[in-house]
Amino acid sequence: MKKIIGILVVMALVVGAIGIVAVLKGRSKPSVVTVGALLIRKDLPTLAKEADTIMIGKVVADLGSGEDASETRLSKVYTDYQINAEKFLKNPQASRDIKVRVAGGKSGDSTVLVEDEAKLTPGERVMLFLSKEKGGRFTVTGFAQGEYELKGGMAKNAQNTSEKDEWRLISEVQAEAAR
Amino acid sequence: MNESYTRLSKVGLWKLLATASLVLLAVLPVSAEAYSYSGYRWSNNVNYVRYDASVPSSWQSSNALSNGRRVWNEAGSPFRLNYSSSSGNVVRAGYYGDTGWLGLTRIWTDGAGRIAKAETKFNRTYHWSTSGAAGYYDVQSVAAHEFGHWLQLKHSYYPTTMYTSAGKGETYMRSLHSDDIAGINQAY
Repeated sequence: MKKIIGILVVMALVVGAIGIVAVLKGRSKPSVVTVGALLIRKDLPTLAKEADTIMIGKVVADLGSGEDASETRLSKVYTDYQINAEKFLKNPQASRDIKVRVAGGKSGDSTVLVEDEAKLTPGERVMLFLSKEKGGRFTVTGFAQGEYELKGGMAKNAQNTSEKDEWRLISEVQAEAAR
Repeated sequence: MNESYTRLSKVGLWKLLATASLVLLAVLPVSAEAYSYSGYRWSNNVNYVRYDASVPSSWQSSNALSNGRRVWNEAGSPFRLNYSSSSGNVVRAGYYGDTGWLGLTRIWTDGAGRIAKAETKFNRTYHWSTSGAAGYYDVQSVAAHEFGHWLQLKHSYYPTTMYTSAGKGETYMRSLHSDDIAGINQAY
């Protein structure tokens, strides 16, 4: 009888341990939703024409993620960033602190990874083509096509392997914005 | 004597290792592949898709959608994406507004690196053609591109099926580039 009770106790412990491991495993690996899209190609003149404002600035803060009901962006889950404007190349804004919303981020236990969206990283210096949404918030025109990382005098777009001189890009954008 | 012999042996060993490494570096091929794969994968090699009622019937009768997935089925890997009206993986079409995207694919993973569900949306706000007509976006090209995302292939910066963006009248994405084929064969 003692043997049977012993076996039952051991079995209960093993089943319990397996359950705990399964729960912990599930918790430690949140689900991921990946989003990939085919964008309409936008060249520099198109981006400059469509953008409500064009700025050069520094990404100063990740303001956190949230979720909205909009179907028009690449994902309902979004992340807001604060950008400190150094210079406006089109339509200067009253404030130098610009809030930009990009698709993707964390929502509950899941993470939404959006391949084609602008990738903003605090500390990074960028040129952004921005579209003004309802409520005064900005999004990046043409998604990743509307972001250039500026580093060491060079400008690089995430959707293009080629780099160009920063001053050349600025003069091209200023010329297009003035048209 | 014995100590200096050991030291010499160590120096010799390092020289030998360094030479071997250089020879290996020279002999090994340098990867010039441009495809990129996320690492998430389907549990099975054979998977299914259905077309929602929102998809125009002409896109199906013209085989634009099925040709878009057939190119991946014929790429030399064991992966197959077949049609089934009961599949939970779906292609839809809708009027989503001037969003800037033609097609959009969402893939849900289960947290263990496996794909649980897939959905592609075509934006009918833009003008589409199944014949590759100038001035219209090509259904088959966009389908081939989006089904590449079902395989978790990411964008390429070279003009392949998985290129990042598309223009009107472009049909080159209908056929897989050697780089796209290398991508699916790495994944499956």
